[in-house]
Amino acid sequence: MALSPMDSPRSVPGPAKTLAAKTKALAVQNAASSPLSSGASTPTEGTMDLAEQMNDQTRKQFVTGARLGEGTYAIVYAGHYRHDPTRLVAIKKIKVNADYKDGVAMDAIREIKYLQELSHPNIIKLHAVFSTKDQNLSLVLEHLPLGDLEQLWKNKDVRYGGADIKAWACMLARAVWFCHKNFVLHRDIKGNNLLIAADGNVKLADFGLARSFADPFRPMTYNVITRFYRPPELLYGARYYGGAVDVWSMGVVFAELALREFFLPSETDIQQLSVICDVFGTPTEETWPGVSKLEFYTPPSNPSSRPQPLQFWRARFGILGDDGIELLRAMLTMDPKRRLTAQQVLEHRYWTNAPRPTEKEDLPKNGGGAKVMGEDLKRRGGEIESGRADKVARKLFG
Amino acid sequence: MRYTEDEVYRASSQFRLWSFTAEQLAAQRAETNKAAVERVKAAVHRQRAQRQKESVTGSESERNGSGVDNQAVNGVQKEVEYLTVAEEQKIVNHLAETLIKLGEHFRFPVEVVATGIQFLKRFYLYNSPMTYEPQLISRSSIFLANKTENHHLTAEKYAAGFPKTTAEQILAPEYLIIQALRFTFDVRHPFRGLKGGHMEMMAMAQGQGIAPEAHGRTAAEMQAEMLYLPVRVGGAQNRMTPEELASRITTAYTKASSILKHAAILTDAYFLYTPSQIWLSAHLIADEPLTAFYLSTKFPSPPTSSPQYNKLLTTLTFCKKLLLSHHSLSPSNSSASSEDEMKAKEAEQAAGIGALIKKLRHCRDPDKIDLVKLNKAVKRDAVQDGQLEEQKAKRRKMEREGFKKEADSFWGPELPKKE
Amino acid sequence: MSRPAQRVGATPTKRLAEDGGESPLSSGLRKLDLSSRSTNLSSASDICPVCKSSRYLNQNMKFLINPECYHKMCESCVDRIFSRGPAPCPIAGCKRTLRKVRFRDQTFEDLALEREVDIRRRIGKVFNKTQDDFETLKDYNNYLEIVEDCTWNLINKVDVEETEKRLQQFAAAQSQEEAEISGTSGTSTPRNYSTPDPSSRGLLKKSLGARHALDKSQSGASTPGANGDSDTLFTFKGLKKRIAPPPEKPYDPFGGWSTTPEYYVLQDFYDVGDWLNKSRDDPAHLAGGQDIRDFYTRALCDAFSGFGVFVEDEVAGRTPEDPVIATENAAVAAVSRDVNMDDVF
Repeated sequence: MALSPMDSPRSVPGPAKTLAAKTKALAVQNAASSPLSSGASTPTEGTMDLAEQMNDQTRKQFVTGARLGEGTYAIVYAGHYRHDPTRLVAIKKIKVNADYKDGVAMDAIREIKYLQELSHPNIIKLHAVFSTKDQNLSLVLEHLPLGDLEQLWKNKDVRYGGADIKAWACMLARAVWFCHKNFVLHRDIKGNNLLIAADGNVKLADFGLARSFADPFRPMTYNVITRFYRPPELLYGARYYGGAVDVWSMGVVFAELALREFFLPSETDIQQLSVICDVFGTPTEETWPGVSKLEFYTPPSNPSSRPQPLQFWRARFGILGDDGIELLRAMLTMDPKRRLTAQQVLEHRYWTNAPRPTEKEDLPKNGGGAKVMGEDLKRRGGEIESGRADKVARKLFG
Repeated sequence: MRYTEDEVYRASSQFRLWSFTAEQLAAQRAETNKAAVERVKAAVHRQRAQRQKESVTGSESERNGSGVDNQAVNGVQKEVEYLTVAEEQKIVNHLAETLIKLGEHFRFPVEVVATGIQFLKRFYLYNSPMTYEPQLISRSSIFLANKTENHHLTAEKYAAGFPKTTAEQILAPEYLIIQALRFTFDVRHPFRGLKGGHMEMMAMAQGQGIAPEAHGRTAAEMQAEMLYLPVRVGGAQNRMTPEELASRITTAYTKASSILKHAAILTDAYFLYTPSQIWLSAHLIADEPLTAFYLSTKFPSPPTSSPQYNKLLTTLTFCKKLLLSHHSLSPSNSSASSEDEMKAKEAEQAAGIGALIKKLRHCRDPDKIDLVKLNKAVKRDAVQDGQLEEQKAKRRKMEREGFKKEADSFWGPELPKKE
Repeated sequence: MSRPAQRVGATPTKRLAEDGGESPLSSGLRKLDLSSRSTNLSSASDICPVCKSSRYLNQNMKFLINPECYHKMCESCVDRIFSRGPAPCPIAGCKRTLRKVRFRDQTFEDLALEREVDIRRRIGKVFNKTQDDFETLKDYNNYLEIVEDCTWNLINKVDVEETEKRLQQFAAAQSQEEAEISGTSGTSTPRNYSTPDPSSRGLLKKSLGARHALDKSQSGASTPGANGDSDTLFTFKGLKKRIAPPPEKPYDPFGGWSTTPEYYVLQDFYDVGDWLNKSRDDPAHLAGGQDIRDFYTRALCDAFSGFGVFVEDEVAGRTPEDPVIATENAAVAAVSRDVNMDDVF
């Protein structure tokens, strides 16, 4: 990292002796004549402070390859460890947002903050972070080549059954459980934030909206979670909420896996509420104590919706079996107080009853499965394969 | 794997990257200091060389430089005096204390201030105040802490709270700080843990405590023992009413809480001990018999037979000593009854800091003075691929020197006055 | 119908059969090839040998066969003769008892071929070893040799009784061993893969896991002498001993993680008489689902986070740099010639 122009490694001049090279010449003189930091192994390192040196060392560990895609807030590259080209990574380079007046973007700060602390097989691994010459933060993330859960249920070429759904849902539930055990709310759980590793593991990614649980009387924003997955309490404007918001989103993802289409799609926040009420009934003080005190609550108009009967669930979610339907409905309980916690979700008998969840290696895979992965491994830096790769990148920015 | 409370802490970046033994901490600070001195030396040397060269070519305009190179003008190469590790620490700690006042001024929540101070201390573990101007860094640290602790604040609004400060100045060192923090933003504080301990002690006092894993104590036994806790260690039993006991627990909590908000965040406690040990030490200072009793409920009876317990107690004693070494808790401070004495002491301290700051002014790294320009330059360089023309370099140099003069007035009033 | 991938030690008689001799299959295949080109040319075969009615009179007439004797007759004869239960075959000279349920369409025009295919299918079910089950390729080929001999015997009706006996013994030995293995593996309850509701969208696909399990259970094999002492006819040389798969552990939804606290026992309510109690009853907190117990859990977890972690001991060996980075740096140094290669930063 060179902060001073004179320290830039690229400014070390060749034989050219124009006037313009004066400053550079001085830099060289400096490097040659001064007793620089003893620990420095190269002249360039000598002009860096310790933090810069550490950053540089981290940066040098990785080789960046093909650009996989670009989003509004980041560019994603393929990459690998320099000493071991078979250890693949994805490098997410956060763009400097000119419109954001408050320095480093909050998304980046949140994502780095929480991924540095959470280490679990079902949460995307952050290998390292480094900054580059142009002060862009780069996150070195786990390489997850097999797309995401949303792509999976959308891909009609992939056929899967109840045991497969159970395996995916369980991995999701573990990730959410682990976040909550560490008092982190993810606040953006959805199919395309659930990436699939080469070994079939599902990994929760994109912690750009995450935060830790708020202490009592510390309000939070209700404007989080992608709309289809947003729980009713947030739509009603609740500022004091807990892990239940993530459990609702998890329930919606679970339902989508079984349905193979969006479960609660809508165009606006208002419409989202009515879509929810159509399925679960309009909440009242009886079914959800305190709901009428929430900011955007409106008393049910006539006729108010009533919750759908069990047949509704059996007809749509038969593939989950009765246990699965019960779990799904318990995750999608309107009143967040009565909704299952992530711990209770994992304690549900659905997981241990037959069928046993498919082993992760045996799960159906998106696209060509091993073949796609093989192509991934084959591809070297510089070669760009559009199409599939772009999709992988898209999820990395959420 | 069993994810115990200890494993939770071992997984944290605070433990992985920011926990040290006392020796490691001292060694790192010494190395940082040494590297900074060499950097400044090199920079000064370079400037002098440049000056000589320019005076040879007859460029008179460069003669009115300031600071470090003033003495060099006539070839009298006086050696610069550099800050020692201890002096650097004094400056950083002084700034940390001003951050507490700053936090009060802006009404920041306690965890924002505490995080900001840890950011500052972490930053100066790998950087020297001689390289990066500490006041700028401290202001930016606490701004960054606002972001990481979910306390919304715009740079503009924050900058407006200081005289002659722009949002740009607040944001300029942000990347430097993030880099020096090794891209970790989570700081584990002892505040909530203290509350947790308080909750448990209250429950025990109410006869509702539960000892872990059947350590052989019932709720009633624990309550009974608590009601007879002596006032000080080794003192006689002291019968209290349940109300008296509850108020004693609350008093201890309040005192420990204040220690955590000052001594704990201002000393090196976060580097050397875990949050659990820090709050327990603070509580030990606040009410030793009560804390000792509470600890004993966490081990099989009798606790002294458990090596783990004895080890913990030794560690807590060291941590307690460290906390007590802070001047906010030193006996001389509390016994200084007369206000005059206090004021004299404060003035003395201020003078000491003033002298250090003066000294710092003479040994600053000239390359890193104007962070705003540097920050811009870096971004521009990224675009222009590091190619610089002489004119630009010259202009930048002049700007830098102009800024240096400005910096002197910048150091003036430490804090904005409250409206 | 497995032919050895590589012919090792085939017997002379065998080779004769393969090379010069005309097996019904090979001749049948030739006919099949022919018949595919000349469809519906048959005339004699269009008359039912039992009732003598002709397709000429009845366009919808359909012929069926029974793999018991492969005698062909029309559908209405089958209905008429066998609807009330098993009955002897009406073709003169054939006295086999036939059941209606086993009558089926003919696949091949040549009934000899039809029969051979059936025999091979039956034998294939019993002798279902793969190359992986044997120590060496030679052992495997020898095994295939024996299997082919059995098949040959049955097709050409040589030593039928004895061969059938061997077949049965082998099948019995296999199922016995299978029972033993599944008995030790502890999965005594058959896995009940719930069939998805047919009314739901077509996701009907048995999971791969289920299929694997099924495959395994079919590929049962006998170890030498496993079926006791009486029979040495089927002790194949070089057959690997089958090891029972390790018992499948019950599924753990938590993936092996547990979070039982070590230093405290969480209670439902802590009466500390301040703002905490207030938040417990605050309607905004209640309606939004912010649970005071989450705060309790967190406060207590924080209280003991690092309770037993002694920094002085645990980090003593560390260098200021992350140990991971340090080791990886060594590796980096080894290959650092191409530092600037394709490094976009």
